Amino acid sequence: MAVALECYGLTKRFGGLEAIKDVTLKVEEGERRAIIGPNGAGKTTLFRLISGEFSPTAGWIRLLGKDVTELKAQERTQLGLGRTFQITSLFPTLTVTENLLLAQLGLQKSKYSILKPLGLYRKLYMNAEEMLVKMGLADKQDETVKYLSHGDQRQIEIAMALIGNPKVLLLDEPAAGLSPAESKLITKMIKELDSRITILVIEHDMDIAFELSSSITVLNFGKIFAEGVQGEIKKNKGVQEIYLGAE
Amino acid sequence: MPGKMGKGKWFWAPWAVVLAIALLLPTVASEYITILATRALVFAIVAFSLNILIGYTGLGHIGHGAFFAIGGYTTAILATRLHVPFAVALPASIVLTMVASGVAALLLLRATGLFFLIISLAIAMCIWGLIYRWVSITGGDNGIRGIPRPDLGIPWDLAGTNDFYYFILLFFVICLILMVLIIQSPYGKTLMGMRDDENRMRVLGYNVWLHKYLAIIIASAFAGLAGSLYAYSNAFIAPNIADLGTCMDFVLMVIIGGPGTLPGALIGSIIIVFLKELVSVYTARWVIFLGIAYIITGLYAPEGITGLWRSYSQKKSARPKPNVVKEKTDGRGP
Amino acid sequence: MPPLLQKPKRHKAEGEVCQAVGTQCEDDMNFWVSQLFNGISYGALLFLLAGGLTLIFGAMNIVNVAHGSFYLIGGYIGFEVIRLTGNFYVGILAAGIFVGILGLFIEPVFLRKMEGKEPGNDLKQMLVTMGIAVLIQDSCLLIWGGDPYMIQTPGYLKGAAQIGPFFFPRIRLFIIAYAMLIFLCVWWFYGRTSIGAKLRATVDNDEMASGLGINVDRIRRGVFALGAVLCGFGGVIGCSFMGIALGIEFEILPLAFVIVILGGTGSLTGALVGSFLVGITDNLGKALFPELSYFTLFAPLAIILAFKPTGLFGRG
Repeated sequence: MAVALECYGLTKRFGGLEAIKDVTLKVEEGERRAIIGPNGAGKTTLFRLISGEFSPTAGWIRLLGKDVTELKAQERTQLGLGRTFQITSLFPTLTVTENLLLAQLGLQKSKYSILKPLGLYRKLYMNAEEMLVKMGLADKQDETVKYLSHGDQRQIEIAMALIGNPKVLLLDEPAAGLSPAESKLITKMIKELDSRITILVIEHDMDIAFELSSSITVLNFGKIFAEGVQGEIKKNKGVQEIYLGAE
Repeated sequence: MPGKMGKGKWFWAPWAVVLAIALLLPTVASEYITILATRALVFAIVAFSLNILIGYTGLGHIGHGAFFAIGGYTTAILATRLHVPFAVALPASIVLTMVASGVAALLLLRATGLFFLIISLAIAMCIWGLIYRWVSITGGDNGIRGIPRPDLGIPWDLAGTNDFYYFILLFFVICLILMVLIIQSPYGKTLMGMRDDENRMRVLGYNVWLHKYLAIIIASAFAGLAGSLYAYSNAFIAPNIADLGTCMDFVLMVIIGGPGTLPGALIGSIIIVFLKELVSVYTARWVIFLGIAYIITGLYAPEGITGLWRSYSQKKSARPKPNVVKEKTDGRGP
Repeated sequence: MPPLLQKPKRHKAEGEVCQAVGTQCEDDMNFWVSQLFNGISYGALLFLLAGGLTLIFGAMNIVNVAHGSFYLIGGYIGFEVIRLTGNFYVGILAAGIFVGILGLFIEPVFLRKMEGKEPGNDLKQMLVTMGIAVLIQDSCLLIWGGDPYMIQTPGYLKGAAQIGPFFFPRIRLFIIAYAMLIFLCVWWFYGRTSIGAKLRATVDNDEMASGLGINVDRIRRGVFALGAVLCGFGGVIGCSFMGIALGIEFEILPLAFVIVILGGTGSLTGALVGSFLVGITDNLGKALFPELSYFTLFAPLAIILAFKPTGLFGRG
């Protein structure tokens, strides 16, 4: 089984604060890994290090076998990395379709085309429409994003990452702020994703985290506290304690 | 309106009306008004290019106006000292402006936010200072006089006010079409994406620095073109077109018309040019009106006239309130 | 243009010492010393603008295009008051007070709305402060006309003092001393008083400062007024050796901005160091390459920013 994502000795320091300390991770191709841990454990920071938004103080990262530690975020995306954000990061003044067009253009040379109208790139529009139909949001395609409901925005957030056909997907709290019904929808959608995609999920909701993943990594205070399959983690007293302690 | 795929016939209709008015203007208006309109068109090209930066890319490049001056002075020097024909002077001005802008942008893009504005201002002032003090080349405070009208080698004498107006109008229309194409293109869309959320764009695979860099150079090409046309239309050029006041006037044109909208720059240019000229006929204190325009726009109408119109028409149709979840932070910290 | 450098019409004779620093003689040593000194004194004057500006940036994140205008109107007010009272120091004080009150009025009325860190506020501030600058300039034009004025300094500040083989104009010595005094006062105030501590907290993190019960609005208003007062002082002093005329506020403003960038926003020490750096560079540039002198100003800015984008003493 090939390794999709690997980190070794990953450390991130902000001045005096050590947000991530000596994290070593190995995620295989097609694996579904949940990253859990109490608030402030460093989960989003870890994602930012993997995506390239932050550069590590120490350690290295390998994506699909290639050392990406020195690569910028946009270069890692070109290699097949996708990411969603915990705080919805869409383009509020643009429509849903335009958001999805931008999500596709990032990986194409035509993003530098200045004299040919975007409207002529029919394939991009068709892909966007297809994705929206699958999510049941086809009627919203010309809506300006800032007017959408939170639940719809979270769905578009995931669509933005999926439409680029990523090989490795980082989902940061996909169900954040969603109603139970909306959460179920999102969870179902994620479960039905292509099994060849490697997925890392940060989730606060334990049930969702366990439902979406086969293996778990637990972070606490920036360090890996525990790692293993669902059954082991569920039974791990230490894990329960760090959550109860943090309440 | 953003989001509409392709252009329906309603997009071009108001522009067709504007074009009709523009074509008919010299026949109904006095020579004075036509001269003002010519100047407004030249400034509108600059305002449009600045709008690409401020309105569509979200870059507060307030020093952009100084590059207009580089284009103007290049043409002035080439036309008066070296007697270079229009067909060479114009492209030379554009190229030189783009090169200068390319160098300046290397420094400018190291900054973001407030710093970007300040460095942009400092760059503009350095350009002004250079023009002001490099007396042997630019004539310093005295400026450069006697720039002749372009000799196109075809039987169209541009010495007349009306003829020259149509000449400028032609360039304006060409620039307008180019800018519409740029805004409607994939690249144009990426600029809007960067305005909304730069970090997301990076994560989506865009080389954000490069897109910004290209935007600045493209905008300065238009500014250089406009500068060249200004030199020909005015027959005289002085350092004041590079000073802080002129740079801020361009910013005001963009904002008062409506940043990020297509007609905004033209509206803004017309307002400011005519405000300055017409009010000065009635009072020596026309500057106070300009100052008040600055203050009121900044305080009450930062989205400009088109913005006011849009919020007025939205209130009428009772849109739901926007649902923007994220707060923009620096992205620093855990 | 400020007459900072004049070429004498004769060459100096053998053995003659260069008189009146500020003229270009063939004596190399004298040349460099005089240029350095002129640069330092110019830098001292610039510090009066840049010091206030950097604190205003730090505490308020405001782009104040009208900062130079405070300098301008300070100069005019000082000129009038000195003409009426004959007292140089009363003039300086009056200018400071007048401009300070102006600042106290401007901040809450025009700028309060736009002090948050939202995107787009910078441009709004620039527009509004530009409008204010334009209004101030036109008012000055209305009241005093377009001609330049020069303030008469008290007798003991005229002429030059001799230190060793060199002559230094007394007014420039005064400027340097005055600026150092102001620096020490503001530095003491900033670092040692409780109000200064509140100011430092606001510069550092205004949300937290506000959460700690500090009245951030009042601090901001105070800082703005303080910056204005310093400009007012600068205007009078600058008027006495450079003269004052419309347009000077826009000539001197970018220098102040460059200093703030170089020194790092919010850093008083940075403003001082930056002021001297800019003053010396600008002067040397004007002396050595008068036509390209703005470039020589620009070079250190570009170099320093290339390595440390937040400025010499700025915090990243």
